[in-house]
Amino acid sequence: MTMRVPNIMNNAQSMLDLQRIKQMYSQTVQQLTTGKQIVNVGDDPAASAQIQNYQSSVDLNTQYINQADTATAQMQSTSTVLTSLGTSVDRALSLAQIGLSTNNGGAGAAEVDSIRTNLISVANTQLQGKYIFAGTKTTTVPFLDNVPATGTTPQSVTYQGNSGLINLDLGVSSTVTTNIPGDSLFFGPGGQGSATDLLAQVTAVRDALTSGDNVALQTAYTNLQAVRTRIGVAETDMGGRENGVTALQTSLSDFNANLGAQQTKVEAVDYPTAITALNQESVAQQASLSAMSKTYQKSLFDYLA
Amino acid sequence: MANLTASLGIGLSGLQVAQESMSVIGHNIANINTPGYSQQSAVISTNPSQEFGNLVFGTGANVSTVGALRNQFLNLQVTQSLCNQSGAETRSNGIQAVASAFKDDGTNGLNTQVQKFFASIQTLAANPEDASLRQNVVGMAQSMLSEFKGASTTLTDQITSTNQQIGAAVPEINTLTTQIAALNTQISQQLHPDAANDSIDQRQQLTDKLASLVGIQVSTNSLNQYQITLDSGAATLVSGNTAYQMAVAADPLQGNNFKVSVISGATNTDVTGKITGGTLGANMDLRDNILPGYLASLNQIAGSLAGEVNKVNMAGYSLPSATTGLSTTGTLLFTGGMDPATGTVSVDPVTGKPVYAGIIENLKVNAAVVANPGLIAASSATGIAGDNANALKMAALQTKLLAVDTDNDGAGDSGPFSTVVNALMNNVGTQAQEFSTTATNQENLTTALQTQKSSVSGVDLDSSAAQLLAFQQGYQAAAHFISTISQLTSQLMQALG
Repeated sequence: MTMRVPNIMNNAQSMLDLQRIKQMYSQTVQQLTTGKQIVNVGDDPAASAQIQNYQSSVDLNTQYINQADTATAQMQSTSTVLTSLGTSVDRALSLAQIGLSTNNGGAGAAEVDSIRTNLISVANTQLQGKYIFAGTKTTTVPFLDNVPATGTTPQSVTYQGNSGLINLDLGVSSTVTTNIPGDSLFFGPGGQGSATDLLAQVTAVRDALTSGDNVALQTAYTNLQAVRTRIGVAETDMGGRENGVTALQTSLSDFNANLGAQQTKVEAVDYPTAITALNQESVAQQASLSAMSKTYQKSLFDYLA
Repeated sequence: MANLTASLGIGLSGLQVAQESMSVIGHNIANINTPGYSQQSAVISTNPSQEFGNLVFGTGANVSTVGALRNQFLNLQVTQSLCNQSGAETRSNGIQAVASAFKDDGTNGLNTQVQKFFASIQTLAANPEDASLRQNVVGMAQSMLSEFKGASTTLTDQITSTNQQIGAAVPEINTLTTQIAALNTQISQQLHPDAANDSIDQRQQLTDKLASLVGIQVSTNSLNQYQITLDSGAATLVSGNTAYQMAVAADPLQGNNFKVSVISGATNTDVTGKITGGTLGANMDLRDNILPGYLASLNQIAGSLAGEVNKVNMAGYSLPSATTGLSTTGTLLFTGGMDPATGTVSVDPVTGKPVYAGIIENLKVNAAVVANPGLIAASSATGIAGDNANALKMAALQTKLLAVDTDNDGAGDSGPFSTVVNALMNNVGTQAQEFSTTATNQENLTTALQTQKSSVSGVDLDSSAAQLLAFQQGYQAAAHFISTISQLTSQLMQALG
């Protein structure tokens, strides 16, 4: 059958079609200028949700990567201090050994005393304004040298920090301890004043060298050797933690790169496709405009004289 | 027997038929662009014949009626489709208007701000002694709140503007129903059914306009009058000669939103929420269901987040004072609508349920914390500056399950915050897409129906030209016939004279 096509109907239909083409055209232009596939919230809710989920994961991982940076910085400074601590103890050990072999250690006593002072200042190291060996009482000077009023050499220290551990979260269920509390590092398992107390043993070496008491010097030397081993272990432990954090950081970065790639796949506009679409829409727009101008031109009236 | 005078009459009837038909064609052409116009056509019939003995002579032609070509069924379908189309378009536009508040480009947006707030706490956990990092937490908390407030304001503004549109639609609806009722009267008073062609077209046009404004159902009674009721059937707008007026009044029980009712004599029927189609129905849906739904979710998220953070902050200890070395126990981090005793959203004494409504407008970062960021309780022990255990707990809220109280019972029952925010954004997006798809589909349907309708009723210039030509020739021929008869008559006169 033949359908009547009145003029008004032609107008309405072609105007609607033209509007649609223009709308698609503007959408494609927006995609190209923003570089994003999804321009409005309602364009593709499923993809929008996916993008948001990727974005949340990436953000969270980035947060953990930044935490790992801070943790690494804190642990690295602890490691550096541990190395210099080891060097000082090594020097004290060799001075004690000289004292033992020559039976005349008096000369070394002064140097050991300065090593002791140096150790205390190392124990009070600050990083970004906080004492790294004070446990969690990071704003308190941890080691106070008890200088006797009489002017004799100081014998003991007071520990003003605590045994608190500082943990940082590097993932939903992974934490790293970034500090070594001063009491456990310097006093050891035996506690303050015991055979495992670094400062007490250095003090003992100094006093034995001063007094020439070889028996006491031998005991202090042996104890200090054990303490030196403990510092070495602590250094290795810190290094191990640092490596662990770096490995975690690398895997988080890799994971983020993957997530980012996935997100881009959903989010970013595919330029060749979009440009092709833009061309097609532009051609379609021109074609419909030209068709419309042809349709509106003529009716039978034009041919009746 | 047929005589010359009678033949003149036949010629005259030919002239008249051609003239009247051309006048109908002229009317059609004049109305080619009149919206809703149905093309008319002259119905030509043969005059009664005269018998002379056993001979039967014709007496010419006449235009018996001027009929309009229309399909009433199609007309009503177009009306219905317009109703659905404008409903879906209005809903889609209303959602698009607020969609920008739920956009997240990774640098701005709700999710990003929530994430940045928790990131600032985690950074603080690495250096809880640091005053500038504490200041940063305060700053991030404030920008997170302003993001929430921005989204909430966009929604409330849109609700207000939707309400105004509801108020503005009613006078227009009343004008239309009054006009339709008046046309109903005119149409029913015409003795001849075809006499009211133009009024019928005009009424259809007004009915279509009315359908775009408000969801309606249309039926015709025995007098060819339109009976118009609301799409839910809740009230009648036009019945025969009578139009029932709609009225708006601010409803103090609904935050002074407009209540719409239909007045019928002494009865006043409340039709708020009882209209689905048209812009009015869609705006009611937007104002009372869709937008408040988004707002409620947003308030639940913000209220739950503030409550969770407060609870953890209250369990910890502040940064020790530089002078005394003493800490204070944790305070509220967020105030305004929050219960100082529990830290969570204040509970309605009557219902016993937390009051989330409007919480975003009230929420602010505790002024005491703004003045002294040291009050952020990073430490889990008193007097210890470097302890970060409580800050870690606070940062861990970011991934905590059962974070948001989505069912208003005071206990969390959802996934982590980011999931709930994403779900809300996804919900907005899905509804925006749903209504925009429906609107496009309805637009297609309306266009298809209108195409069909205009295929029946539209004026076509080509056929008008052809008809005009035919009647022009008919007129010329009839005129020629009259002139011939006239010549014959005068010849006869001369011969006899």
